[in-house]
Amino acid sequence: MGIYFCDVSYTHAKGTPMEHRAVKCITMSIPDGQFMAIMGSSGSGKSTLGQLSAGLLKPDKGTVYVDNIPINNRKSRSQLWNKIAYVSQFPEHQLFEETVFLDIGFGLRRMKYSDHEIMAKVKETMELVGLDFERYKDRSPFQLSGGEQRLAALAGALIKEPNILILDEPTVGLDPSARMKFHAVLTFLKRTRRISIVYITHDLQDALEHADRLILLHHGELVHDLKTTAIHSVLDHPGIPLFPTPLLRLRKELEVIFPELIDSEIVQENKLLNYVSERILRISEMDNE
Amino acid sequence: MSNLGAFSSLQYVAGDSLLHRLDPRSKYGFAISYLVTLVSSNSLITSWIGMVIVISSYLLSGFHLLMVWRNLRGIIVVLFILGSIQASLNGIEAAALVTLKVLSFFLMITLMLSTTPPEKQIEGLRKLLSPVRRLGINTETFVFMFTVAVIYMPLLLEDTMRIMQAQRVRGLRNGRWNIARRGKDMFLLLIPVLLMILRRAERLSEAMESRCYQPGCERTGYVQLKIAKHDIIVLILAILLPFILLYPI
Amino acid sequence: MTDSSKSPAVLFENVSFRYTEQSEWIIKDIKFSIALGEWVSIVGGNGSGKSTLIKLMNGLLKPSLGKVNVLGENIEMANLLKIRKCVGVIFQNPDEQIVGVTVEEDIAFGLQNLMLQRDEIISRVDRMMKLLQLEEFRNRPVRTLSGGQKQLVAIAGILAMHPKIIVFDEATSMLDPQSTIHLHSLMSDLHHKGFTVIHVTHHPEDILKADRILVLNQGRLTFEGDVPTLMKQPEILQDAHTLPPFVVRFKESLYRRGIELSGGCKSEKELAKSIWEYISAM
Repeated sequence: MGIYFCDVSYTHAKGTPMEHRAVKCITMSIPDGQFMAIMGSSGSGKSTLGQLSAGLLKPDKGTVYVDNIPINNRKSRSQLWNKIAYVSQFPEHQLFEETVFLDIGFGLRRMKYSDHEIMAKVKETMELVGLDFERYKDRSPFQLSGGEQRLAALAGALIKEPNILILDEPTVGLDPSARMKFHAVLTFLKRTRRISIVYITHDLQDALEHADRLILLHHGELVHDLKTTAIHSVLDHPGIPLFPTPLLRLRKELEVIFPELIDSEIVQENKLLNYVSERILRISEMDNE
Repeated sequence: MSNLGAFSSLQYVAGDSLLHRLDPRSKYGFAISYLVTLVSSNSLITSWIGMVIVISSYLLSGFHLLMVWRNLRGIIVVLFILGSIQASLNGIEAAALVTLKVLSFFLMITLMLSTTPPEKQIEGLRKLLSPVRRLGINTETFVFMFTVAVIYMPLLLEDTMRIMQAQRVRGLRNGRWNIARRGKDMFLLLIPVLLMILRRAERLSEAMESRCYQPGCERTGYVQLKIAKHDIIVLILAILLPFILLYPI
Repeated sequence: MTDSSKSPAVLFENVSFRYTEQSEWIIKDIKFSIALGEWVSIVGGNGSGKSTLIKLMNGLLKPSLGKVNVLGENIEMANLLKIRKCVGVIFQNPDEQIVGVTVEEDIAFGLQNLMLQRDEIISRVDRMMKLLQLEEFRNRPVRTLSGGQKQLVAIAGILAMHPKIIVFDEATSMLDPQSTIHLHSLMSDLHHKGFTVIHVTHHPEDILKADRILVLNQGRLTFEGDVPTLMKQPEILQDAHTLPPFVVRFKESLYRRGIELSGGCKSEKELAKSIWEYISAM
């Protein structure tokens, strides 16, 4: 179940002095099961693109197709609402029920599941995102910390078992341990469910760790579309606000040191670690012979 | 993102017309006199003249007349309701009178607001309230609250829109015609909005106190207002307006 | 200020804090001092009490136990204004510290509160706008600027008050990478000019620039010292819900696989060099 953008444009605040074109003539497709990261500086249109994908906004020009159905009318959007899940940048905007349990189960209550089924599903989803069921089910969503709120919002989105998950800057403000928990959930999802994930972020390392594909927006236009493993090809482009992460910088330094080039496709921490330690051990084995 | 809808008519729009250059106090003075005149008159002709005055003022401001139409849209529902009530109670002429008066006054206000930058509006308000201060009433706090409202109202509106949007994507339909459901949806909307307002208020007061703000204490003025020749003319007009319009007709 | 050249910039003496008698302790028996001109990073996860610590530093909160001393003076009602003038705080959310309608007014805000003469205010505002390259935004409403620009406006407003200590309370966590880098270089400049910089963060890479680091874990100070010492005990950071910088993590992971690198790891270059030295020595 993929998303297809056909020449989509969107302008914010039309007809007022604050009007500005957020998205300009974007054509691209996100195939089923792909993990795609959308990056770009503030104001580049990435949030808008996410909202267009979720059907929250209607394009001024062009059409957005989800599963080959155009989502430009209310009827098709409501048909697809449980297949597309959107987690906003500000989870406190999306939570509203009295308890975490009620809030996460909200989506299911609308779909007329039985109470028993809802309880089982909420429990399962909370365990999935790492929120202990007994500890959190009766707490008010507004008493949770930022990280916990995000996990609750994520659970509320995942419980619908969507085919498409859109995450708008999900790790902003999270401390590293909350961030790691979040990434663990994403890794698990990638491995176990066939789900397309659209991940809007400005943290390059986050994108490199998880995404297969990276889209770069600049002033509303799509300027780069590449596989994450090919990141080095765009890092040096002028005018593109992408900055090398410590991992990429280390890789560059290592390229100077090692006789052959480091495999330039390595962009993830674990992989680089494995690669370097294997090379070192291999060299020491060769020495021993 | 800055889609304020109906509220965009209350926003300042930069420009360099005569109206922009007028001191806010003279504009306030004129608006008050205008209101008094409109309210006191019962003749349809006066109300029409009032309307002509406000439309020609729009021309003076250098704004496109299309703005008049856009500002109108903000109030059209209210006008319709008012007009219908009056028509059923007192007849067509009364309805026309009310509609004209409310419309003229609304347009005058939006014109004032669009041609005066907020910081000048606030300074004008502060100066206007200064006679009250001499009575010992602390107006500084009130004026400051006004400043905070001006800064934060657009942000709060944006946030409210975002909350509505976030809730909509979770399946909360803001049903238009089903009153009971709409009431419930409004209530659910209210909780995150209130919490957000409270949180912003707390953080703002921390930021202000960190910069040595003390509620109610004296502060050096920064924005300066100067009365010029055209302001005096406007003020004279303001005083003469009721006499010109009310007495002969 | 009483002999402020000799006294530390900030001194916490056995400070504990909780909101009410019934609530939990947020800060537990914390003791540390920060010298003038130092760059100190305060690190810890969410909920460790970092923000509370900052509010104790400028009098927004009063300690339940212990004493907080800033530039040689205990914080009391009488000297609150003086303290707040000397300790400037930039908060995390650019939208939640807008105090003026236009950029000009926002920068002038603190100066108006200090009851400075209008001419002095105007000259300071002009100077700050020039320094931070905000002149083109003079009359723009602050909320129309980008996040990074809003933080610059806040910094201008703080610097205009001539503080001695500047606190950045996770000031870059909501900004994009470009603005973050710009702000970091501004922080370095301020440090070189002699300001005491206190940087509260949970971002691992931020601690490498600091002279000293304070690690907070659930209200307790679990580490106070310089960067190299901390890097030898990375578990402290992990326990505090944060991570060591990438290069330190990498070195540590190699160590756990039996590859013990000597040499520093303050930067990627140093780490790469250490790896090369290790291989050459084999």
